[in-house]
Amino acid sequence: MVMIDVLVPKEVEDALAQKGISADMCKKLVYEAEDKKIKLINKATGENLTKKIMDNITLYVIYAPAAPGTHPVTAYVIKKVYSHRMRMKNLVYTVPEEVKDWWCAKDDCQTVRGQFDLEYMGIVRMAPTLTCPKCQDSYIEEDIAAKPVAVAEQLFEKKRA
Amino acid sequence: MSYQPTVPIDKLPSRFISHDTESHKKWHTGSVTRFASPFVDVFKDRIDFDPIVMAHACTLLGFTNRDFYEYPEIAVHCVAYFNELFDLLPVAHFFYSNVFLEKYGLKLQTTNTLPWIAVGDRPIKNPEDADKIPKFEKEDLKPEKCKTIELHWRAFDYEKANIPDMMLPMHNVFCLFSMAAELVGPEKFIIWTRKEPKACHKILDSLAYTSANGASLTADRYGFDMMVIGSVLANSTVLPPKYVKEFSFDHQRDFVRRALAGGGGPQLWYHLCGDHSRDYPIWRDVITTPFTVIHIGYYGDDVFPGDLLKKEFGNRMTVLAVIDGKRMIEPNFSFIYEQSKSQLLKARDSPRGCILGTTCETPLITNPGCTLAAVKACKDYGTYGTW
Repeated sequence: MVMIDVLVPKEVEDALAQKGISADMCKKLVYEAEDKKIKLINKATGENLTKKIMDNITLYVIYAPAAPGTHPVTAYVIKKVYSHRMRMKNLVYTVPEEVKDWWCAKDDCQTVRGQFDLEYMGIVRMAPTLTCPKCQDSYIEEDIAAKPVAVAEQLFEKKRA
Repeated sequence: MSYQPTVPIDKLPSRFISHDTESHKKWHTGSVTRFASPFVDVFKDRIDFDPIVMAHACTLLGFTNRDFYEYPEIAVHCVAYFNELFDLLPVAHFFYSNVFLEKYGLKLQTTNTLPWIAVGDRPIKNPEDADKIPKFEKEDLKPEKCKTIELHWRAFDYEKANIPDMMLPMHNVFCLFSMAAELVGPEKFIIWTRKEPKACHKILDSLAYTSANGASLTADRYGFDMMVIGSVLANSTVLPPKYVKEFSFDHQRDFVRRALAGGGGPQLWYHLCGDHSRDYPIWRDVITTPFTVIHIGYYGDDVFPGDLLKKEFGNRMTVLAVIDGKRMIEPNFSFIYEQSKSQLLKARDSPRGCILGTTCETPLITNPGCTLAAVKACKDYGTYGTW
């Protein structure tokens, strides 16, 4: 385990509380991401994106060095946390020429646009992802989780209720 | 003198039957369940028929073509009534092609039989003009500054006030390639794809950027918008597949990703009008959300086969199998019924749902007997539970 601090600003902590997610869980996610390099890095903004698939949700944490430009990084600050309930099932295809700003830390390569099958309440539908062309690890971006995926979850719950 | 509506807008709601009636509520409840079926895998009733009705809804009900395009309040109320009349979709809609082009200096006008068409000089006369093409921000597209947004928001505000149960905010991208061609002149633009590709891309970039901001603006106001994205002039008759990808598909992807990031969607409706016999495989890789429908008009001179549509797209999105819109004007109801039956049998068990529709907008002079024939085929062959 690397020795780093993870700071959770008050507004992020409040947002986490509303979702029923603990700050400690998010910190642990950052420690794991740094330890195992399971994350995407945006080299333009310095932000990192990691995720963890749990029982009922997939949790994403966007975090960045607390003091940008200093090496080695000794502290990170969590900037945003989001989640979705649709379960990531399988990668359907990628568009190799559509290269994105986010890099896979493990494979040190740029991600490309992917389309992933997500499953919820027995219904399978696709959504766009950031996907590593080598390890195929895939991430749903915040705006996709917040709108198309969230709306799908609500509709499926309503219609399957 | 400007065109005056057949019925003054303030009198319009009183000409229609209130949606508070029990008969309407009963129909609407059933229609909503049927409409949602393909998107949630809860198959009830039958497959829907969507004739992509536009001005025909007005002319059939005693209004005019210009009422539809110049008075969107009339358009949406007529579409809503038409949909209930033929037991179609539980939503009203308003859209037209050539959106946002007035912002680029193109003059548009309607006629007694045509939608908003380009008239007069084209604003982009040479490739150097493309270097100066503006990109419009949300602020530039507010209704007081943009006729396209003004017309669409009038439709949605009217729906909200008068027929809220059938309200459907939409953003019509139309076909970026077709609209770029209107700015230059269609023949010239098609030649430019070979001789001046950079100029073409600059125009297409601007249109995608402006349209994405329009989608975002409408979503800001109404919470969401169904986005209709077309490839109409960019088809296999006009361009080789490589060019369809470069000048239509790639810019559509750019638009969709920008628009989703700006809050547009989440429903995406891909409308591939015309012949896509050579380029259809490209469209398998469109950006999809969980609510995505694809619709392809023709395979050569024939309607795009429902079984091919199911095979290529059925595991990725909801498919809209088609009957020939050109034949919807004829007094040949058995032809429409048999073609609907054939397409339904080929596509009805598509894994992510199926809808029946026409190859493009049903014509202004559609024969109502043909609409009924397609609905009857849906009732007879688009039912669930016996496959």
